[in-house]
Amino acid sequence: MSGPIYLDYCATTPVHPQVKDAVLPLLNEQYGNPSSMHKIGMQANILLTDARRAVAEGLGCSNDEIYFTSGATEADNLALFGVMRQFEPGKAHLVTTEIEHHAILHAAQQLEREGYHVSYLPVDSHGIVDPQDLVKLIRPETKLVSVMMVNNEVGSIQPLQEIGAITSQHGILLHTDAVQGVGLLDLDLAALHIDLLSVSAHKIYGLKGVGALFIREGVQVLPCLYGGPQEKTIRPGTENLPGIVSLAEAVKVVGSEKQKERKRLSELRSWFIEGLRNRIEGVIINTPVHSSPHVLSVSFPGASAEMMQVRLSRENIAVSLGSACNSKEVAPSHVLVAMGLSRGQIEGTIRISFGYPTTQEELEKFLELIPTIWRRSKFTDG
Amino acid sequence: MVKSDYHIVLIGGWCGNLIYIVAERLQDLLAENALPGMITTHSIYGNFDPPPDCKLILQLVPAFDKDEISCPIINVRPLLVDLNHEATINAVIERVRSDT
Repeated sequence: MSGPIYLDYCATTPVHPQVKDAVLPLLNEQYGNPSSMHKIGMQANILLTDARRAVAEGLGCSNDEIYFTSGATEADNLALFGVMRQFEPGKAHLVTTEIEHHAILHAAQQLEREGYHVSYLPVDSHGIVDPQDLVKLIRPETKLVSVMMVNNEVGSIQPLQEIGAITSQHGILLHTDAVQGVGLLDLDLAALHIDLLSVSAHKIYGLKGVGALFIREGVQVLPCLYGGPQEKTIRPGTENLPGIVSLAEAVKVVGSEKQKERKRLSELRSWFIEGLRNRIEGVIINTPVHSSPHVLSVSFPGASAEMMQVRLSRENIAVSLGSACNSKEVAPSHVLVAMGLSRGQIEGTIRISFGYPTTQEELEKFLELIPTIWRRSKFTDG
Repeated sequence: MVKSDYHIVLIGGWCGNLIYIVAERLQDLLAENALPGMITTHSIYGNFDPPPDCKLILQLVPAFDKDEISCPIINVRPLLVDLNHEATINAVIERVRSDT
């Protein structure tokens, strides 16, 4: 095995060959602007309509409910600002969780600065929110609840069914960031009472820089950008057609393989966890049983995850960290902090994430190297 | 600073400016104690090779294991949160004093 062993699929994924084939003609042959009133433009518009239909079919909604964006960050921002800013600051309340992606958390903090009320749901040691906590937080002025489908650091699946039942009963809108969930988990927007949902192409083998927001028919969302008539003025700007087509193709690819891939990755992850436990004394698996099978958060006792990442990278193996060091401090992951992990445990945590190209052979190589890498990434004087 | 060819390398990872703050603190400390030694910094993200010609390695991250390197290694990570961490400072001073 000579190529890189990529185990960071939560960060991004390679473009699927089927997606690449669908996108390539758009780079030099079908380059029209879908808004142009000539043949080349109209051909582009047909592609846009087809792509919207494919995404809608993949998510189980109507074409009119799909709004293309520059990615999940924009989709998340559009959902939160677009709903909340319809109300006067101080008179509207948002509920989200402590373990959301920063695209939600930082948008929520901005809303707080604008005078809106925001509450944050805690999670248990498995990284899962308790729907009863939501019931306690709901106020008469609660307008929106945003809870992610699958956590991007530990893979925990949130109880959206119960949460949706609560929001629906109280007449509150429910948004979910489904970036890490849509590729492997089944989704029934109606059954879950989801009103808004964000997806990203590059997490499911599409291109970077494109995503979509599902907005249930009848739900009002104010735009964050102003410009042309694209996306019914909710998200103006010339459509990123290669990106949009990549998203549509990616949705088709993951949709057709979902069940099979979920089973394959579940088995592969279980086998891998057993391998880790056999080789690393005291290893802690932070990912709960009820999780998406493509994510695995692991704490290596006494180790510096930062150094493990560097040493793995030297062996051409890519993983991600459970904490990040910036210019002022070694900042632990907010997700692992919310789950109650100790500082030492967080410092030794790496995230390993799997995708359709992941093979048992790759993981065998990882397991072969990891005992030495772990031992050498522990602090010792000498 | 007491001029010396006693070369000390401070190894850092992703800690940005902190490595320079720690290096400055350690260099001042050597001067205060009239100890020789020249401290340079080394980011393992830029270069994972062991630094050449050094007499002592101070690690903010466990970049090198004692069986990978010929000179002594001291873990100075506590300085990331406390620049006056007594045990760490004492360990560095004692090592430099005994070597020089």
